[in-house]
Amino acid sequence: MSAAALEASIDRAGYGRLTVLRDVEIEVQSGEVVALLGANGAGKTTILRAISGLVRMRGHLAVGGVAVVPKSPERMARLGVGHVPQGRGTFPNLTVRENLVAGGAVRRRRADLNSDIERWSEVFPRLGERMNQHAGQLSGGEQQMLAVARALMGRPRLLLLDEPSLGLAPAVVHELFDKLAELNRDLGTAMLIVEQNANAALRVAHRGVVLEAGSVVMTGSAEELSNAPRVRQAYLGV
Amino acid sequence: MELFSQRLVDGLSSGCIYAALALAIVLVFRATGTLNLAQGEMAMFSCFFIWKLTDLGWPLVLAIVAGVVVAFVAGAAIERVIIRPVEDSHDHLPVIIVTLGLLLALDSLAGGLFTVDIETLGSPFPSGAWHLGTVRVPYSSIGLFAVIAALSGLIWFVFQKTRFGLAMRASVDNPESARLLGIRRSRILMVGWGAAAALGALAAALVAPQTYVYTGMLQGVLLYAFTAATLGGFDSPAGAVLGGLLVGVLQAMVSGYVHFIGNDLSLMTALVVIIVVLMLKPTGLFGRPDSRRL
Repeated sequence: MSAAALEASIDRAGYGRLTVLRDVEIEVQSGEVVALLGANGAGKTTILRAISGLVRMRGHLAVGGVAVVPKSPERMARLGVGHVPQGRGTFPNLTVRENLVAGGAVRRRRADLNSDIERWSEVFPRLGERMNQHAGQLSGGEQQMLAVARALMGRPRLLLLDEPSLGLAPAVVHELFDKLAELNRDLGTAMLIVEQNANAALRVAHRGVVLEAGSVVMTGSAEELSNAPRVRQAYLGV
Repeated sequence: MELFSQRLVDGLSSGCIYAALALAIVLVFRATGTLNLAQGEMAMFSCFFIWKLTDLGWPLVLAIVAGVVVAFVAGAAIERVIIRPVEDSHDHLPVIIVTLGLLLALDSLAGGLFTVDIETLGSPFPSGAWHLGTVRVPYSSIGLFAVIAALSGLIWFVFQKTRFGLAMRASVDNPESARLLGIRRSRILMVGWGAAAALGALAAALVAPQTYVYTGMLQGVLLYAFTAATLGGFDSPAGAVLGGLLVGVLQAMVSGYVHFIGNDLSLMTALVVIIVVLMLKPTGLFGRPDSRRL
């Protein structure tokens, strides 16, 4: 078993004097998909932003078994952590192709980029058809696909996804999570998925972590969580 | 007709200078999303530096090259030391205020460090002219055209065809996403400021034979450059060049044909252009409206 893709123990993280997270430990094994569940305001997004260095945190962080200090988003990207931010964060005034090339900013060889672009436009055919359109003109689902494909251009070993289902129609959510499962299977990319849509996330995840008010209240396999009465009641709407 | 053609040539050649400074403004705007109000003062300061080198006996062309290189380094250093601490991708006001302070500081510093007198700087181009019928096209104007054309081509190429240019555009479009992809925004800001300063130095050195070298040498020119950038679109290098040429020609024509304006009120032409553009087409001729879906 190789070193964990991510080990994060966050003593404290927040915005200015506001503490959002306290003593949170998250671990993602290599090749594993972990769903991070919780209600609005539980601190899910802050966990991802703390890992990426967008939010200051006190604690310890290791990527692939190597401790990372100090952190910055640029550095984390270079260490192979891709982050698909909430609200997609595509470059609206750049074309789809340019968005993808920008996604490969940490890679050196242009030839590799082109073959990767080709590959992702096959995986996401609707992106392939819109290569020269501005990203701002894509539909929400297409933009989400673009954001995922763009993050994959950096060939990350760990992908952080922040509410990928937000604002998408149920059928599109289904398709997106199918793609994510496929990517995990084919490439072995580890994923940490923040979701309010627990159904969708647990369908593809191996493991789940439930967050409440800034602390972890439950962890377990996806199956265990799906059957846990507390999760079923609170997040699965059963 | 001859007078018209002559005014056209004169307008185009001053337009070249406006275009060069407008390009500098657009460069900073595209790299950092803000305006550098001290762009003209930085260029003036570089011009003094170039003048000082020639005063020390350097050949003019060598002095200009040295001045442009030093301006690049100094521009990058200014960004790193003065602008970076107040840089905030959500709020541009602090940066603009700091550039205003920089403007005043450079103005005094140039006077103190070099001279408050008016100095002269020669032209790197031969002094003759090419006669097209009765219209006189100075070699210096032709030289200016060539330099501006080459610069615009270079800048277009860097922005549209290189990965560094793409990183610059991405970084303006969504700074946070760009950082998450590993694009080093800090490096882009430094290079953007350096390139703009270098461009300003070149523009100042080329305009100096007409304006002379003194602390206020670019004040009028800078206003026209801002007009050019407004007219062409703040995010468009091509727009900056075309805007510069248009403003130059417009200024020459209005001053020439509208008698109550003449030379005394020619700055007013620029202000009227700014107001009209902002009212009719705020993105400028070539500026792209933000194609963001909200």
